[in-house]
Amino acid sequence: MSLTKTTLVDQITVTENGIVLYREATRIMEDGNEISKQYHRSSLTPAQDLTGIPANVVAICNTVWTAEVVAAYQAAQAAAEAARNA
Amino acid sequence: MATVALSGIITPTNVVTATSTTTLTNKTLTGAIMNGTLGATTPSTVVATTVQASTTMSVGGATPSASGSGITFPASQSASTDANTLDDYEEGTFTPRIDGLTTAGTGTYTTQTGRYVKIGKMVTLWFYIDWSNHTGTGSIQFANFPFTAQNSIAMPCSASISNIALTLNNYSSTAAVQPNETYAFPLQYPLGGGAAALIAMDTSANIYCTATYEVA
Repeated sequence: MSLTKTTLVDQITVTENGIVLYREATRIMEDGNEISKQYHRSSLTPAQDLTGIPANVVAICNTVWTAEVVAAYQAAQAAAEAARNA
Repeated sequence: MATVALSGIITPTNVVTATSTTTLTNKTLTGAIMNGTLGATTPSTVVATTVQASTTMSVGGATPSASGSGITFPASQSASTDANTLDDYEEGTFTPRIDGLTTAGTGTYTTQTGRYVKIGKMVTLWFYIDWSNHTGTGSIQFANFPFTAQNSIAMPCSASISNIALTLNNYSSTAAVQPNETYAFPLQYPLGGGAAALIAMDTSANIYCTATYEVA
């Protein structure tokens, strides 16, 4: 009997406004059969610091977060704040 | 696992009618019960009084879980546009974070713990954040939610906030999940009534929050 534990990013989603959501799945396997699985989710907004983020997620962020996407997201945030303060 | 033969209970017109309890032990039902589809045919009516399965059933091609009894959904949601179709279930954890609205900043945390359960388009979060220092500026926001909210109105949720500096004579027990985003703002209200207002960043505080919102 051998037990193994693996954690990997099994899902990455990009929303229309550039937010990147990803899910890490931790699986416990016994002799090749999955006996336990747990999910941990995170979200990243355009231009957010990517320190400590899994490499494959960073690659997606760097592709998606063009200057135009970042500018549009920041403009939307500013507009939302203005609306709240109105 | 064996596959139960359905030919005896599926009529040639593809109508399943059960007037009493049918017990299926250690069997896999493939496409017959959950979506009414058997092979390439789709019954126009499925009527079942009670269906019992001793282990797990799956939908959407998912592998039935070997643990417990229940319904296993695909690991990745197969979204349905039908208003009467339950198309997702997932539970897990996330790491809630405090950001400043003007400058996100960095926090020094004692505790960041969060859990979620997503059922269809509805997700409920439970989280606790305790921080001892923060460099952010502007209003406080709860960030790093696991799902983006529906792009509609800000959705209020329950928040139990302690040790946050509120404006004099204000109280707070509410936060608002922002549309199309993965964060929420805690809000404060004047005693005796009045407009809600955002809460300024506090360098040391803690919050408990429960948030239920519709996912995009």
